[in-house]
Amino acid sequence: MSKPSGEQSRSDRRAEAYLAPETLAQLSPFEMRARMIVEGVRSGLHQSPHQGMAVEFDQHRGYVPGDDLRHLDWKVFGRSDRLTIKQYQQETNLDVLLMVDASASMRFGTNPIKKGWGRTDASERTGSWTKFDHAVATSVALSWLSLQQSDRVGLFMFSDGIDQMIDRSSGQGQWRRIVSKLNSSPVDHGTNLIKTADQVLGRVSNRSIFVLLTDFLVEPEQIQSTLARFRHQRQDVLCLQILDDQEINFRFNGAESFEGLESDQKLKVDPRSIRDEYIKSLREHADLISSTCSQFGFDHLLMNSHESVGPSLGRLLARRSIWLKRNRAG
Amino acid sequence: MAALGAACISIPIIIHLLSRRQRPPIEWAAMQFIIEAWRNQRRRLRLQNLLLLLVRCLIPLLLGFALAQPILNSSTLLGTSNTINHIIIDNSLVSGYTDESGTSPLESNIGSAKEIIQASDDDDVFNIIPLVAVETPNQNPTGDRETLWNRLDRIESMQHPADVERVLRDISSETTLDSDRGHNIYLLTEFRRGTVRIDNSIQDIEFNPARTTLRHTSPTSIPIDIVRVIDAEPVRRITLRGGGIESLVSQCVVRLERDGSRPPSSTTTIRAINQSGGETERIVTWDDGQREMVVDMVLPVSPDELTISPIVISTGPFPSQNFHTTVEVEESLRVIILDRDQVDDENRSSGSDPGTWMERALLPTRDIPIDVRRIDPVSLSLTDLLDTDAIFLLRPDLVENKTWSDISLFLEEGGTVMITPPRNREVHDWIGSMNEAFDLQWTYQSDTVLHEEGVKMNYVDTTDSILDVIAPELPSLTEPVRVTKIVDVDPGLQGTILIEDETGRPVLVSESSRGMGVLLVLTTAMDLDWTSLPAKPLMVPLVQECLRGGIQRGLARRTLTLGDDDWRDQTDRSNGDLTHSDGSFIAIDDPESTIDKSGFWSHRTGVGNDTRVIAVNTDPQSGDMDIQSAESIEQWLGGTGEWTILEEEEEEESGGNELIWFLLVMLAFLLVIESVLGRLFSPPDEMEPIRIGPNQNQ
Repeated sequence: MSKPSGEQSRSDRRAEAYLAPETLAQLSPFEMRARMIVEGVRSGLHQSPHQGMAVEFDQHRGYVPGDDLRHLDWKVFGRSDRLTIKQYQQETNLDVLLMVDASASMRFGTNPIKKGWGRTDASERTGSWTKFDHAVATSVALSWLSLQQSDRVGLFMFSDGIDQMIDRSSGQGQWRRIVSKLNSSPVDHGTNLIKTADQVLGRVSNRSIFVLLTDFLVEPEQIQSTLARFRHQRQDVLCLQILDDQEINFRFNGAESFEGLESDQKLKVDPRSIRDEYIKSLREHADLISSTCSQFGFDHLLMNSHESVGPSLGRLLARRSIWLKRNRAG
Repeated sequence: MAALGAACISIPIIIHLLSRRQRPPIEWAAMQFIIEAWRNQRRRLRLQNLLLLLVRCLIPLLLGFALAQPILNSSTLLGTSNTINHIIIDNSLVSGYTDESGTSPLESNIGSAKEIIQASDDDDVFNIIPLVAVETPNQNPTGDRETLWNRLDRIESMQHPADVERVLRDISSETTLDSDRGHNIYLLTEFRRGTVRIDNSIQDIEFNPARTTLRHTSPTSIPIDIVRVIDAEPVRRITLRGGGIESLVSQCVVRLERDGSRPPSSTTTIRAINQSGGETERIVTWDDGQREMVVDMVLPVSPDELTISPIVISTGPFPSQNFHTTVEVEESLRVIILDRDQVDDENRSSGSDPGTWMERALLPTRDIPIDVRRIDPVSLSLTDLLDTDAIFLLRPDLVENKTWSDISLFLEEGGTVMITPPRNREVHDWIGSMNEAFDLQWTYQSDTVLHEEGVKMNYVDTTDSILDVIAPELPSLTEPVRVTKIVDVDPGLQGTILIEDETGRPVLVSESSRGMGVLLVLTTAMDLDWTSLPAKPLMVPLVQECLRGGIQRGLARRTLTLGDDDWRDQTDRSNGDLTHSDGSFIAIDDPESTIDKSGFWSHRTGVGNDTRVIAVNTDPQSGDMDIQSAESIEQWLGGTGEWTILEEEEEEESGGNELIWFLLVMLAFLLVIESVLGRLFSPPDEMEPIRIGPNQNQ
């Protein structure tokens, strides 16, 4: 595994544990900026807000009155006597802002920690690979990928508001700072997505891509309201919903007593007897998130914390690339 | 065991409660989904849990019942060491009747008792109670099987009347005294009328239902056709050798009774057998459904017999089919006429004095074997009375107190005493002496009552009169007789008026309630100034019948029914043995001695070497084979407590086996139901992995 910098600290070694070679291998073909390229196509139709930044040739098209004559491809005109306009893809440095949920609900996990895996405050406390660990692993991978593409990467850790943050940067030490911050953050409070969104959006003026890593175990109204805020700011959001396998499958052998991680609710019940109903509710909740994201043009990915980060994330990025190409062709 | 089964119901409840044990709670993030799912499923889950709990409670309950049934049936719980089992075994007369199968009800009862004992636990104790016990057995309850078997095998059919009520009363007293323990009472009988007479319901016996269980065998429904001899009364109990009326003395009136549901028409042969082998026979025909019959037959009595001739009148071998009686055979009757021989008495010389009239009446012909002695009342000694059969006291006014005592003793020993008023007295204070001597309370008028014109006499038809033999002729015989003088006596309840005059004054009174003999009082003197009786045809038969009837009545007292307590009164001595014709004997002076079987019992009298024979018969009621309905038995026993029928219990036990099978099938069914419901209500442990989210659908 390669490293962004030469010196290895303790946090680096822990961070490395999150970047399994297969994860990087699965993610590397895809570029985080792809979505922003689409943004550029869209902006070409109007006015790119990112002019002056790096662009690259994309395709030719016939001249129509009103086109900027500076974009005429004279060489083509010389060879074919046709006025052809050179179109360019707007290429910008992408700001990737990772929003990692550090609320208490993320502390849940049932996958036993294995040797060599990264550890966070949550996994240290529970002894399991928690949803927070999975979010951290995903964040580390994405930040690594983004920094490799010279994108600026920032970090917000939130619960009932922003708990900690690292400003955007594409510098060499940024990845290490991010990893260090992720590792050291306590995971305790409740979740307030709306407040967090307000705080985050108050700090970001330019268009960025927000990667929201959370379990979304809040009221649907809160989710809709949060995503609406991002949409209103014309931001792009990649919703990565992280759930533990036990939360998804709800497999138990007998009666259990449940206690809310973010509430005082307690219930003794035989989970087997309510499994179907539970899964139905969970499915409806996930569908609601998905439809909300779809409505706002955001991506939604439900990640099982028992599965590797790479494949699922790779599938999402692949999907985004396909979508991109389709839009280009159109 | 049923309680244990019921207690087992608590097992699923305990499991249910244990399942609610405090386990470390799972910290769960997606609580809202759990709560939402639980809220949606709460009612269904409660219903399912309740249904499962119900099924799981029913399983041990049914198992408990299934296991409890055979254990209850084997009386394990009922026969604990704190319970005494009283087994009353009917060994009454009818229980000894052996039918064609060769098994008597008594043997069946003993078999049932053994089955009850065998079905019990080793530590159960039993009290074996024969329904008829001549001697009160002193047997403590025991659980030792060998002892119990010995006690059961020693039980024999007894001829004494059964008294179920007394036995139940004894046990009731015992259960009342022994209130610490439970009591199981088994009454093993066929409930034939010979054993149980349900005419009157049982009074004042009530078992405590909390500590006493009552069971009896089912009343039999099998009729037994049997002809019993209820009574046999010889017309004459005494026969005199050479007498002229032998044809009467061998006659006997026999009462028969036939048992059975509706006996068909049939014939019965009645045999009368004396101890010398002499036998007479009579065949009678029963109509369809006829149950009772009274027939005459000739008894095999011969003048050549010994003093007493025991005769058995029989219709079959069973004790109730045999009646024992005796006829006394005498060379002659010995009669004393107590009269004063007055030399200056004109009547005496003319042969019309009372003594002469009486002597003529006793000896109307020369060949009548009656020895008549005339003794002056003041000369009578006890020795004179030893061989005397009857005294005719014609001068009671002359009898001294000592003589009155002797006459009273004679009367108590079975003698016949006839008293007439003295003809030459108008005041009759002797009645007071008689009352005192014989312990009577007759009222009387001292002065002679005079009917100047003379009044007629009327025969008063009473049952069981000593004049029965001549009763048909008495109206015509009394017609010509007139009474002029009479002593007005009113015996009240202490005597029977056999003849009275037209004015209703008693003429002839008999009293036989005290002692064994018969007292006869003729209230008119044997004198023509008093009555024309001595000169009328009535005189001879009246005196003869008074003599013979009186003697016969005394002899009849020598016939006993088993169960009579006064058998010692029939003996004239207080010691010695009473010997049965089969050789067994009992000591008279032993207060525990009891005549326990029918037949002829004899003992030496206190006078000379004479033998007195007592004919003992079974109580006619105790031989009654008629069956009785279960309803009537239930009603009869009902006042004592709640009785259950053993056979029905056995049927219930066999039915119980069916019940066990039913319970087991139900148990299996419930297990299946529980399994199905458990599987239905509880999702399988192997659960398909769930895929959620848009990325999983593409």
